[in-house]
Amino acid sequence: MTPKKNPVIVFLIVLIVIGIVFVAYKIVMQGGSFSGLEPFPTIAYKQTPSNFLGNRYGLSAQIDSQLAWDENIGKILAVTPMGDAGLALPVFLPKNLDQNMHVGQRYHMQVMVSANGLITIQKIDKF
Amino acid sequence: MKYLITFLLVSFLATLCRAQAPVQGSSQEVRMAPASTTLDSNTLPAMTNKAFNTDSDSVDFEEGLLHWKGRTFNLGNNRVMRARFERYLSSPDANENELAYSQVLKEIEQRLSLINENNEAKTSEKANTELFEAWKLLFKAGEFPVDNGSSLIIANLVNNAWRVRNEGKTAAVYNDELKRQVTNLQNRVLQGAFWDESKAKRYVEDTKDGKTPAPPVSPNRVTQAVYDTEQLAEVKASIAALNTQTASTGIQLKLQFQSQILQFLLQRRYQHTIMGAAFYGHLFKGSQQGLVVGEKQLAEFLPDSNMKPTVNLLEFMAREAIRDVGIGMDTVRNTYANGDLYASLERLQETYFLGEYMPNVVQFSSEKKMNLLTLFRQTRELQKLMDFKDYNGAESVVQDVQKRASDFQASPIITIINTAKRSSNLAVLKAKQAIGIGQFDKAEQAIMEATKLWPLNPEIMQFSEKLATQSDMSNQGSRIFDEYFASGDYRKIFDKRSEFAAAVMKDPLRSAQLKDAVDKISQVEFLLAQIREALTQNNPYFAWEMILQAESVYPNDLELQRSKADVSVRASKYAQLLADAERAYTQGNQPLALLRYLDAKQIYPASKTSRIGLEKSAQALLKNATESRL
Repeated sequence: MTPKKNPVIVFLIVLIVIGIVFVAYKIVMQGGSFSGLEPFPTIAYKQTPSNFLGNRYGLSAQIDSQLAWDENIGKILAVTPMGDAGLALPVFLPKNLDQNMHVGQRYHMQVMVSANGLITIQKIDKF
Repeated sequence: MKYLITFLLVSFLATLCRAQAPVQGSSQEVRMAPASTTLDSNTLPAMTNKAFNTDSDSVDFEEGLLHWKGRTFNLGNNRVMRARFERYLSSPDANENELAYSQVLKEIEQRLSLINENNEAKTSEKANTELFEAWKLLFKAGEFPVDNGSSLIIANLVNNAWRVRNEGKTAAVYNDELKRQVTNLQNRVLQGAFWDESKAKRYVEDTKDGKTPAPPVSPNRVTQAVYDTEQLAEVKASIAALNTQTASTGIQLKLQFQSQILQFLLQRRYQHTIMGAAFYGHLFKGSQQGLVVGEKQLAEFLPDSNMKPTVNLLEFMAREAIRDVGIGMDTVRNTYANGDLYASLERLQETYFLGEYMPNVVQFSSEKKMNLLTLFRQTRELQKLMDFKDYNGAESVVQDVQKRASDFQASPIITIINTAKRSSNLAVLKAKQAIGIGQFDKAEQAIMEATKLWPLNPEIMQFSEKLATQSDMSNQGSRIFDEYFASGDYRKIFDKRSEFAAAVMKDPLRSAQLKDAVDKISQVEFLLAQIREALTQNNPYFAWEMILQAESVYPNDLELQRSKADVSVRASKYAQLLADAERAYTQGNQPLALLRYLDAKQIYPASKTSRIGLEKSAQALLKNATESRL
């Protein structure tokens, strides 16, 4: 005798599968294209920036203020990493990545700690 | 006496306005501090002009003139005028001689009058008799010292007139004799001529037959005719000379008489003016009353008059003056009786200079004069004190004058004194403040201003003594100042800034160094006050900001370092971050500087130091990037 399929169970299974797919999607989308990068170690960096020279990280942050701008070079911004409120970081946005940026906007960034510990943005996506 | 005060006010005004000054006046000034005080306004000149009513009778001590009803008496030097008035006030009561003299003059005037005591016209004979009696009394009046010989001058002039008149009578007799001689001589000349003509006719008749011989020609006959003719011419010349001499003498006498009457009037000897005019009227005809002398003197005496001057006019003016003197003395007595001594003194002064020799002036009570003399001297002293700007002394005298003369108007003087004192004190205060902040040129200017306003100001003396004491330390002070300045101890310089100000006042280089040091510590002091206030409000971060600002002005101040140590404990993390940021910036590590400034700003979002540090670090970072790209 063919076991009788309980429609309730089938419905629940479908519902679970849909939930798993949605969660996987959210996880993938939240990391953006930099989801493979290691998150920026804000606290450790603040203590000794020189320890992170040459490293690349993913950084999701909110724009606090624009500190300086040069049309041939780019911008110096003050940003606050998501989840690290009260720990502002200075970042350099090169001219080739420049775009309209406003205080309060959030971005996913691929950053590299360059000379003197300067955090330089290499890729940036608004979210 | 109001003219004394007027003079006083004018002098004072002139001094201040030369400050103003103008004052005056001037005006003003004077300038006082504040620059436009009462002394510099037009109020004082207006008051002065009001007080000095040039239309009224007045005594002008400056020019030595007495203005009376548009006429001007020249009384001579002002010092002499004052001395004469003071001598009059201190003179005793009129003695018997002076009373007797007045009586004699009164009697002369009565005898010269054309009416008797019953107001009836005197007969011609009576008038002539009394004229002679009056003339005799002139010699009696001339014996009194107070007369100063004036009556004798009139007596001599009258005597001369009479002598000339007698000489005229003698001359008339002589003239008649000469005329008779002329007639005789003319007859003799005519008779001689007639006889010669008859003789000639008879000779012509007798010699028609040719037998009668011609009579011999008489040489004596010719000589007599010539002699008579010459004598006739001489006598006629004598008559002409006699007539000329008589007329000349008469004119000369008239001129002398008129000149003397005018002199009496100008000397304010009115009784003698009247007596002289009366004698003149008796001696000269009515057609001789017009004045032909003293045009210049009269023009000065009556500048606005176009009247034809006569002897009668001089007499009229003398009588008017006598009447005014009488009214003036009545006023003096009334005001004195009412206790208005100041007004009494004013009226007495005017009246005295108008009628110095009049009996009612001379006979004024010595007791009252002495009282007025004291008041006169007090007002003179007040005038001098105001001239010398001794305001404390002037205040004291003003009170004395007010006690003596309740009608004395002291308020204008008190106002001037108070204004000058207040302005001077303000100037001293300004000088002290200027010294305190090292502005020595302004201090000097302020002290000069204060001295000009009130030279005897005790505040100036105290200030000067203090400066003098400091000045004693001048050499030593300069040396100590140099040590402090070289060691950078501006706080000690600031603490002794007044002493050092005196010490280096005349040294431009040290003065500039002192000013720089005092300026810096003054700024630090201001910031330290804000630090104390911030700590009170439990805001150590703002206090640290002020510490940093004060360090940018003068970092070596011990007071500042003490405060810094205190504040750094309470804002240690913030202070450490700013210090790290500044060090990183200085070392060229702009990313680290930015990081630290951001951290500091997280602690104190209103931080001005962080904001400025972020800006300069970010700019430097971009600049370095640009340079490395190039």
